[in-house]
Amino acid sequence: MENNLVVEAFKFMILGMTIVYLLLSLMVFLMGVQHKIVEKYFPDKPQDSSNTTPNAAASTQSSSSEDNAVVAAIVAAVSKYRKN
Amino acid sequence: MAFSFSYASNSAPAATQEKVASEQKVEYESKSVLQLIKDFFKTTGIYAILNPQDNVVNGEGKKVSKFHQSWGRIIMFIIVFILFYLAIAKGFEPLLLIPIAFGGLLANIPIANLTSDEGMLGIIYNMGIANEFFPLLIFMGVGAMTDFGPLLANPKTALLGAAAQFGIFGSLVGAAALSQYTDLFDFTLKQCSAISIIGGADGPTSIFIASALAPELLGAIAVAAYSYMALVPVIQPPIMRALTTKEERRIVMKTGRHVHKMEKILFPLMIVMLIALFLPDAAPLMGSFAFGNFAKESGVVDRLSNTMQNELINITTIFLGLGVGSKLEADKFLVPETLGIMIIGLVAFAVGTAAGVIMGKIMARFSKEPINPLIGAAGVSAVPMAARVVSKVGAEERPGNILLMHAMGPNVAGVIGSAVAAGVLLSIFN
Repeated sequence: MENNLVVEAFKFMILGMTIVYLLLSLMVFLMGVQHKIVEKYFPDKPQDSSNTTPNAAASTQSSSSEDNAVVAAIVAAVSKYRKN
Repeated sequence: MAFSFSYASNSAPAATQEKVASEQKVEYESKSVLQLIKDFFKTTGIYAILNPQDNVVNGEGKKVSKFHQSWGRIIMFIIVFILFYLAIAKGFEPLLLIPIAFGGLLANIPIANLTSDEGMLGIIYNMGIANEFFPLLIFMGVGAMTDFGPLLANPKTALLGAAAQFGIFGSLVGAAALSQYTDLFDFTLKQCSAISIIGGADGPTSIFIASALAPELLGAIAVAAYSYMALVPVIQPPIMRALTTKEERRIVMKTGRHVHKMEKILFPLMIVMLIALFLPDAAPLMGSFAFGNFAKESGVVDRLSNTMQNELINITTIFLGLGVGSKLEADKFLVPETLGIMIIGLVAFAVGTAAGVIMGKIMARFSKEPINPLIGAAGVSAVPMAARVVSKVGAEERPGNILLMHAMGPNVAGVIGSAVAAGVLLSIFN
């Protein structure tokens, strides 16, 4: 078992980084595909079910994405708080 | 009289287990008060520390050197108190350092032998760390706490999480070089792999891999991993500043798009399918992670998801910490290897951060949308600390530039990336 450790480790590195990149790239690709499918077959319902009419949906699009950013920030803050 | 007879006969089988006790119980002879006090003194920790014996064995039945019985224990007590100080006064990952350090304190009590298979810490260790179970429960809870929204909104940032895993493999080569070309350390390839996973900046993953590949180094690896995770705000910013220009740090990123609930539900399933098809060795880690996340995003089992996020992860943290602490015995921790682990772990962290930032710069150059290279530093997992650090460094250059949500993308991708890297290392040795 007299291997050169560095050479072996280098091989591990090539294998490891390749697999990590391939898998995560595949994940990125699939996330894109998934997004397209979801967008097509499950069109976005207005988030606030209160009183958004279909023709108003387009104008509220930007504000609802802002709402989501706020919600996401709150979620992150809460999880941060929990972790502490 | 009758009572004393029955007492003596009952205690006979138990007496065979402990030599010290047997002298007094089996054949009780009348002793003077002075003799009793002397004998009692021999069962105290003071005596054991002052008079190290030749034939003392640790929890695994290996002999413990005299140094590790006396000064070693005292040094470990001091180290444990430093860890307490860091956790309480400095707020270094107290949730884990407190149980780990307390486990270390208990593990170094002489005579009590808490780390043997029958001892309290030994039981905890065998219950869930030797078989790699507790880290998986923690991963379940982490999954239930993770929001993949930012990643789904900007999938490309996952590549930053991949780049940061270079910290693991780069330091693996470094550790191998240290073992091969110097006489300082003599790590095997398995040990090198277990140490370098510290660069994944993910506590449960580190413990999982260490108990699979190099259980003898578990204590030092866990302490290094959690200490460096706590030190992320100290380690990362200088590297981030050194590798980026002022203009790059000032880049403002666009707000991410809205993410459909369905995408979030499908994502953990997609991860499981990817792992099933390409890397089954990562299935325990990614499986429990995805399960936790799926329970949360499905939205119909809040009870389960809340339990995973709170009670389950808390209970497991207690046991995980104490169990890891059992490996902080003097004869296991006060060895030259620990120093090597600390150094390699730090390098792994630094290299991972640098690789993430460099990848961020590359992506910024080729991307149509503006990308702030700083978010690459969040690619080492350490959720959410690394993302917060990115946001802080970004806000220093341009107040009001909130990078937090953009950094969360590479941050959670880093968790997946290090689990994948862990799976690759496991697959090599399986």
